[in-house]
Amino acid sequence: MNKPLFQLVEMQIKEFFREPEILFWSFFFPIAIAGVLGVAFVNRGESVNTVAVIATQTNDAPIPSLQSVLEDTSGLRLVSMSLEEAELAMKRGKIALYVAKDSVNKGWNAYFDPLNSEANLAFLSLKNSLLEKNQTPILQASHITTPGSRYIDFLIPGLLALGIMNSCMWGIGWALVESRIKKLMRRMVATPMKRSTYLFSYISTRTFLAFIEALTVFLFAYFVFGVSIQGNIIAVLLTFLSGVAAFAGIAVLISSRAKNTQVGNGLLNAVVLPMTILSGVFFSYQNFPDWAVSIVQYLPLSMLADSMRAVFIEAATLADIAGKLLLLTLVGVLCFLAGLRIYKWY
Amino acid sequence: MNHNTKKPDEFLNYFYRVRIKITNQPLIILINIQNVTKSFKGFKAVDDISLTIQPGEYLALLGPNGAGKTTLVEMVEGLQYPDQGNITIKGMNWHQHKAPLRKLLGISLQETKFVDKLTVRETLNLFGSFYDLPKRRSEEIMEAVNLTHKQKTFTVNLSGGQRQKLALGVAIMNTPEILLLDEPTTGLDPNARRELWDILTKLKAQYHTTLILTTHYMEEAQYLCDRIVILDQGKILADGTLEELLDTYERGEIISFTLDKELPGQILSQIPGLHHFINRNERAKGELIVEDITRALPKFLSLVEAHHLEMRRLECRKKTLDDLFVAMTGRRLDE
Ligand SMILES: Nc1ncnc2c1ncn2[C@@H]1O[C@H](COP(=O)(O)OP(=O)(O)OP(=O)(O)O)[C@@H](O)[C@H]1O
Ligand SMILES: [Mg+2]
Repeated sequence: MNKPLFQLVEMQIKEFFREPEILFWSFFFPIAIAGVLGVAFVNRGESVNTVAVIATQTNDAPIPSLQSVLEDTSGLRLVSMSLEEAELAMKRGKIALYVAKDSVNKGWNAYFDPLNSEANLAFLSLKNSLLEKNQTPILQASHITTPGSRYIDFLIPGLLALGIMNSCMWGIGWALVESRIKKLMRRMVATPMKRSTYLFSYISTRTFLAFIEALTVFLFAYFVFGVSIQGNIIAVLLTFLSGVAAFAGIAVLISSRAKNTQVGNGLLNAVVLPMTILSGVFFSYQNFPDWAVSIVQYLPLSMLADSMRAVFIEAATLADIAGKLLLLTLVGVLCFLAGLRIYKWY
Repeated sequence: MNHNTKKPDEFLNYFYRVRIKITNQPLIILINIQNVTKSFKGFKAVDDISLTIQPGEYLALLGPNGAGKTTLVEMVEGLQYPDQGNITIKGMNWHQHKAPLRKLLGISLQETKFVDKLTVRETLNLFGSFYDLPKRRSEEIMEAVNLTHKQKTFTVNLSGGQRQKLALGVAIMNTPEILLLDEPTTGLDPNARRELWDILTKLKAQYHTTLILTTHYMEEAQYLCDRIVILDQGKILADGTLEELLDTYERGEIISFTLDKELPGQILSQIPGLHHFINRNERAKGELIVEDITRALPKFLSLVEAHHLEMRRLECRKKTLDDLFVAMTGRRLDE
């Protein structure tokens, strides 16, 4: 058996594992990011600190009073939510802290992750404001460290999404541009080998390698930080595949015409950089202005990261994320077809 | 080895062979290039070229940089399309018969880098798979191009000559009927060049392959090919066997010399068989184009002696394609 597809995939995998630098950037680097950010940098980086105040059915009176007391507290915005809403908002990074009435000692309890410096800050300023105003309600700190609400829980699904994007964009997009620059592509497609086989080999190889990369990062996070998947593993896998489909398609489109390093690099960065920054991999984009959020949430990386995060920490079901996954796949297929139409083989 | 055997081709092959045996002058045209023009932003790289190539022919495209050799060859390979004109190979063209044509050709491009971190053997296996060849074929190729001892070397670590041999190996994997090599020996030392020539000569004897080769080297064209086409500025300047080409222009042999003083004019009339004298630098330096060196040289030397001139440099040679090219264009081939 000496099938072209098999040989092409074998070639790319060998090429991959024979380049120590590539191995470093693909495996070690994401793990290093996860490690450094997970341990040291627990700030979620909200530009505005939103504090949720839990509305209680039994007694609604204290809430407006707390809000009126804290009206002019600088940098804090109070919103009322139900307990479920507040927990979800916390997992999504929309809020760093929520306050609920303590039924036992008639005071207030602030719930937050003590490792999150921003939450600590919010807690202190809340407490100060109350003291300054000589208010009777006493604010007590209640630490929550349940899995799913820590920064690392927020970070890892995002990093996996980022990894999928980078793996596809560079592993397919850049590899194709490079093979065009080296004139290897034109040499290969001058043989009877099918062009679809050629492109498909790159996509297959990347699906495999991106999976290994994602698995490595996840296992690291699992064993070192106890990050776990709350949702269904099938949903995670389908999210992964939709992500690969989306970015493989985009990569083929991006690589369809570029015939020198500068253009290829420029195009890839033009796609990769904005999404890396905007799509909420490291920090939630929920605090952007509303008009920005309405755009950013449909960036492919945002959709991928959000779906991944939903399954990881909110135990979202397949049905919950199906819309986004279909959209991702559609983006991939459309880009792939567009790329194929204008593809420059020679 | 039943790759690239196709039923209609078998018939044609048989037909070619019979024709060649009977008349030694086949009537069937293997490659037909008709009035082909290719421009890049208004610049005509190939300018209305017509050329027919017969089965088994070894043809050299000879020409200086930018003559249009690569452009022409790549149009035959289907890697570029002509703006005007047609190219047919065995009656097939690149618009309708891509798949069978790709099976028919073996090509080596002017510049190809292989996958850096793939070994020689793996590279051959890879390309072999594209032609549906067994891995055993890779061994045969490595033997044929003398790379067996380098089979485990990454292509990035091969020397220039070894890489060219690998490129040739890849080109001949499918035992192509038509081999198109773009400057296969540029940059090689004379030994490596000769090694490649030997491989190509063997191929011709064994498989009756048809070859189109581009080169800057006159000796290469002379040694390998029965037919030489000289290209310049997108046009064909000359086409024929070496003998024919040299015949089309004034025949002759060259005595090139440098003297200490000017050569007196009356000497020239006494040299037997002199065609003409090319004067460089006040007659102290020049070239005599003569019918026959063996007759002209002794007389010339005795005349020099008789006039008390001192010979500083003397060189005798036959006319070459280079001289032909200089005569036609005023430039040298390897300029
Ligand atoms: N893609 C292109 N775009 C613009 N000009 C081109 C292109 N390809 C070739 N040319 C021009 O066409 C002319 C012929 O080029 P070509 O590569 O065919 O020459 P060549 O005979 O192969 O030269 P060399 O011996 O240097 O390889 C050159 O002047 C070159 O600049
Ligand atoms: Mg060339």
